[in-house]
Amino acid sequence: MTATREVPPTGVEAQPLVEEPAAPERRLSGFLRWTTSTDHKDVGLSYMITAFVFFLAAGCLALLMRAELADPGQEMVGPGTFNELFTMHGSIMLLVFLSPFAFGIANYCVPLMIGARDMAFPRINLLSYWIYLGGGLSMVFGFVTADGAADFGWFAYTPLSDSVRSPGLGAELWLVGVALLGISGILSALNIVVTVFTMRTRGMTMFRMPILVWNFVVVSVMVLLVFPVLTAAAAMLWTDRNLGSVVYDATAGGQPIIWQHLFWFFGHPEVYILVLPYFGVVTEVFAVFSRRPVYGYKGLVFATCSIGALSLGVWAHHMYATGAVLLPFFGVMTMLIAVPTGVKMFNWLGTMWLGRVRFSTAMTFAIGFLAVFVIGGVTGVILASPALDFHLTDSYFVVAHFHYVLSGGAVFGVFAAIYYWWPKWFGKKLHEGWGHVHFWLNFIGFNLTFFVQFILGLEGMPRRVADYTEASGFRPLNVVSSIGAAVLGVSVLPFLWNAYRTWRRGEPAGDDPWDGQTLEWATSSPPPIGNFPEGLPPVRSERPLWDLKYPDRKATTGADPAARKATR
Amino acid sequence: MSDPAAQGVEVADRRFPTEAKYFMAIGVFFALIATIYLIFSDGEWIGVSLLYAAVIVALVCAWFMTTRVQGAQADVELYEEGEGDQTVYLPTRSHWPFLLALGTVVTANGFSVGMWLFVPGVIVFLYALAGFIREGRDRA
Ligand SMILES: [Cu+2]
Repeated sequence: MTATREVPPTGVEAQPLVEEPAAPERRLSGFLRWTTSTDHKDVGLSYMITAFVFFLAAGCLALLMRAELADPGQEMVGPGTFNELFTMHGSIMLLVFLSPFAFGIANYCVPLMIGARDMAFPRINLLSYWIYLGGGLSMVFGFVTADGAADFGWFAYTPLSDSVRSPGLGAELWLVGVALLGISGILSALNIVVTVFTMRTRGMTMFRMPILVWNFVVVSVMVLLVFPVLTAAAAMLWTDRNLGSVVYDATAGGQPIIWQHLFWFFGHPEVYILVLPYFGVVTEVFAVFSRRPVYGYKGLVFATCSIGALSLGVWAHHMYATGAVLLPFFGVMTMLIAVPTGVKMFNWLGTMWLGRVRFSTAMTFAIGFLAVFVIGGVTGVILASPALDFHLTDSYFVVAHFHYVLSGGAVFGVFAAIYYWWPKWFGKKLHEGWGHVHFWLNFIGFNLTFFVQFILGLEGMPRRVADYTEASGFRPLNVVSSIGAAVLGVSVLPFLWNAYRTWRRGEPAGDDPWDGQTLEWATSSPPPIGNFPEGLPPVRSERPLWDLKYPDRKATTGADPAARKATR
Repeated sequence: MSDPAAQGVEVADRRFPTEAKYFMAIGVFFALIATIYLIFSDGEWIGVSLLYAAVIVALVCAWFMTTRVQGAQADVELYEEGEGDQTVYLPTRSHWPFLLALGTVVTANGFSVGMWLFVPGVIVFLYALAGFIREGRDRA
């Protein structure tokens, strides 16, 4: 494979071109591998490990907030610091953890799943990783500036975020971070789209790609449509703050609400950008651990595309309370999204139906995802109704809703992905027993933390407050929520221990530990540079490896139970 | 899906590859949404402009896919077996992306922090950009 490559990578143009040796390239190690290896698997792992570190950091911020809220009165931090905590918690979780982690999965899995040697632009891939890390650190460095980190909430509404009301350097660094993360995301998305559209192996038609790859196509196109809007909005806010422009300044003829429109035109699709990759992850996991083809493949692809498309037309459902938006349009559009999402639910249930389900840790996390995501989705429909939203907006109901979508949904997807692909990434399986301990602590802690917040929201507790009075009656449920958060925090420990013990003395996993169906399991674990030195199996369906292993059990997605049983 | 006869039909219809149809669908859908929004939103120009901008982006992509990507991936949808294009140049290591990112990040921070960060940032950025481009020259 490497032998057919024509030109070796040399740094100096004048250097004579030498034939590359036929032997497989040696991997770099340590710091050099981190900073200079453009192999998509190295970049993917860098993305995921970095994002996970940010996840732990932002989780600590959340624990501080829950500690403060466990009791009326000031416990840990003052109201100013509390503002910094929730702003940075949200910004890091959304922009520096979830979507970069998804880009990490995309980097690692997309080329393998479509049978490519690498991403289309390996160097730009590495560039976007380092811009991402720089952007994330810029944002976090706000904590060490004199006035502290940004404290205007993750959606940074003007005029609160202008230079009069938020003058600190932390706010500036937040804007710089957002712009850099936007650039990095655009580069990554471009890379993914070009890779999928131009690097597929023979026979890998668009409609034979694994669902995960399809989801990354949809996500990347959404990124290309909305990240530039965010970066531009941040740049305009920066010029408002520093150069005296008045885009968002009402006193000089600007309009603060422009920010809300621009931000949410990015912000709502962003939620789907964060969660769709994990829809893809659980689809792969359901199929493999049920030993079934994905049920209703084309319908699922179409549903994903519809979700992506609709999500660009619903931004102002975050702005009902402004009184300045077209309520019926955004209400109807938002509720419409529930339709393709419901289709996906049935696809997933149909995939498991009559399958031989194995409850591995990855599968357990995927099922947990399904359970909590349904709650998150249904409460989303409640919030989409303007009449209800006027009551619930900016209350803890909203907080509970989006944590069910993103913390329950996407983070369960993150762990499903970790347990599922860990053997491919590192050649060793994580311990299943510790995995289940991790899952149950996570599941119980999560529901304990966030379910009561629905009730708190209905009772009228506003979000983003550092304190409440004894007389409000919010205390008991806040105590429950804080205990849940502690359990949630503890649940990471079995995972970290699991990772450590697997690293020290895990057993080799082999190429295909889960009896997989897609191409990434057709090569060694971890795959060498170039990915498929032994060549690829022929691609005649959406699960080529399965066809190779079980030629007599052809994929069928039909509803005939007898035919379906015969295929598993 | 896996019925070759059905695929034979698709293969014959290669005028618009799936990639192009994908972007066309996006463009048409947003055109519809944008127009509905234009009529009913009573002059909310930010949303209208953003939606029509999305239409333009999607249609430009569809045009590009129709004229260019069809050539790049023509054999993929012919259902032959074998390995994809092996001749594309894909470097496996380079120190320029790191330096270019360093320059970008330091410059961006310099905008807000001050000249003492901005000027070195720009220098690193330009140096790394030149290296990045030179490294990629004469490769195809
Ligand atoms: Cu939304």
